[in-house]
Amino acid sequence: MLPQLLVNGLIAGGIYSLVALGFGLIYSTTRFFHFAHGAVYAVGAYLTYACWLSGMSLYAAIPLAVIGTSILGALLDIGIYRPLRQKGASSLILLIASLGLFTVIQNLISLVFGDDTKTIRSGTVTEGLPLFDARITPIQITIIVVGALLMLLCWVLMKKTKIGKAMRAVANDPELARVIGIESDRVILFTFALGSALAAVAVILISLDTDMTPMKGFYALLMGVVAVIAGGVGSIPGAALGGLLVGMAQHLGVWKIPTQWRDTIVFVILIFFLLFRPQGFLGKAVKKAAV
Amino acid sequence: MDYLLHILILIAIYSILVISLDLIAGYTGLLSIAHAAFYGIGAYATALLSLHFQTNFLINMIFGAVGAAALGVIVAFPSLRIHDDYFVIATFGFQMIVYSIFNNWIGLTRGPLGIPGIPVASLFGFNIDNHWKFLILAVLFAGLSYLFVRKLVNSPYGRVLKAIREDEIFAQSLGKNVNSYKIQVFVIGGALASIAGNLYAHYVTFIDPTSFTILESMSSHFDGDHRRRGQLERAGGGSGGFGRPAGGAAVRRTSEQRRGESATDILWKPPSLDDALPAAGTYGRIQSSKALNE
Repeated sequence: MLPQLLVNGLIAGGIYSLVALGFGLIYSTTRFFHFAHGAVYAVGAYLTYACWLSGMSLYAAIPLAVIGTSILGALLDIGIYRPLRQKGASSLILLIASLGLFTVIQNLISLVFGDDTKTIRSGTVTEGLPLFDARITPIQITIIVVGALLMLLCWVLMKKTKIGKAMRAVANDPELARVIGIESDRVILFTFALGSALAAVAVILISLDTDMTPMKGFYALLMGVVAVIAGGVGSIPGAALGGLLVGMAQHLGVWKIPTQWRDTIVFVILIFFLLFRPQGFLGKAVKKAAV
Repeated sequence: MDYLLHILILIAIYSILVISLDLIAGYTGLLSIAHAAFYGIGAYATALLSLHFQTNFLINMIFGAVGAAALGVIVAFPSLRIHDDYFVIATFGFQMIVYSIFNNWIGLTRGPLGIPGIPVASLFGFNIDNHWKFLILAVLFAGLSYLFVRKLVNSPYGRVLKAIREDEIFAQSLGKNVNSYKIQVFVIGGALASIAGNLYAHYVTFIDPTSFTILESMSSHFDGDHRRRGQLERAGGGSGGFGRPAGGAAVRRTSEQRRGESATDILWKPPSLDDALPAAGTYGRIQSSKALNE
């Protein structure tokens, strides 16, 4: 039982880490909670489904869907968030705007595809490969490997490339970044495109393993937000660790506690972190001025 | 006619909810999305007490308010340490936990099946058993909460709350115990919201967890349009007025009833800076021009 729960936790953790990574990148550069990320995530799955329905092979459908989702993320920034930023909207107004967007996009998906469960799994269900005392399917191995690879790539991108450094500069101080000639709007646009692409990869991987419903994005986003806060905002290893923590807590929790409390465990962890370590495992402590 | 009364009763109940949230979010500036949790505690306390112990309306109300006040202390606690959007996320966590207790503690709450057969309210041996009587009761409580909160925010106590909203550190530097005020506001606001839950449970006589979701918390914000309160008060120098919370509740209730769909479908449009909602926004504009003319 325990090895299987660990494997399940690792797989869930891989997915949450990817969501947390995308969400965290966007949060650290723009400083607001982009809740519509959950809807963007769901769009990734449904784009793949639509391409697949129109007769494409999955190998063609997946890259198309990732690109499409990435464009959607960029369009949200250009169409909604950038005008709001230019009007000087506070992060709370942006948060409320993103909640609105979330609902609109999710309802649009329901409108077009219906509320019922869809699947892009093909082929017959086979027994997983044995791994110690647990079983793991090839697609689940892919989830873990792709997740780890993307984490590494993003880490390299943030540390070594020019755009990554610009992202960190904007995250650190948008004013100062503008002073030294970084166009923060372009950097933010790139962040939205990158974050949305990561969400699309995560959702496509999980859809290959299980099924999709329009509500799925909300759930993944919640877990992603908890992972970001637990791991520390703006830290890529933090997002990975936070995702693993959430996945493991969920799956090891059900070992002793009835399954319906799985999500409650996660929210208790969230509040615990917010109260006692709001900067997360690896984030830096920031203190508001005090008297 | 009954239908019209039904809508009026719901408006009165939701007005209490919005007025109490206004105290927390509008006057003190603590943007909480856990309000439906307080509302739900009031409703569940009412349902469970009146079914298991045959207690009457007022006793249910007192116990519900005590429960919600206790939750208020817990929800307020993160606001002492974290601010702004982190606080929103913390309240979000509380909302989800309380909702999952309603939904998952099957032994106590019957979970998604809900609790049917809640007796009608009775006050001093007088049964509130038709729409007219209930409307009078609901309006009475809505009026009382309105007067109470108005009295509160126009007092020196209310001025401290507004100071906390505008600049917490400044309020602290004047020797105000900001932490204690924040907790008190959540206790008062939570207890008031539980009264709305109590009325709702006695009125509908059936409750289930779907009435107390995060969406309920958020639409209360849209009804009240609390974000504007600070702006308006700064512009006009006076109080932002209570018309808007009640008006927003009225617009949403009626539109929801008329079109038979969720309020969020109608009102959840991406808000711009100028108008969060067409409905509450128009109302807000009237208010803001009034405020500016003063």
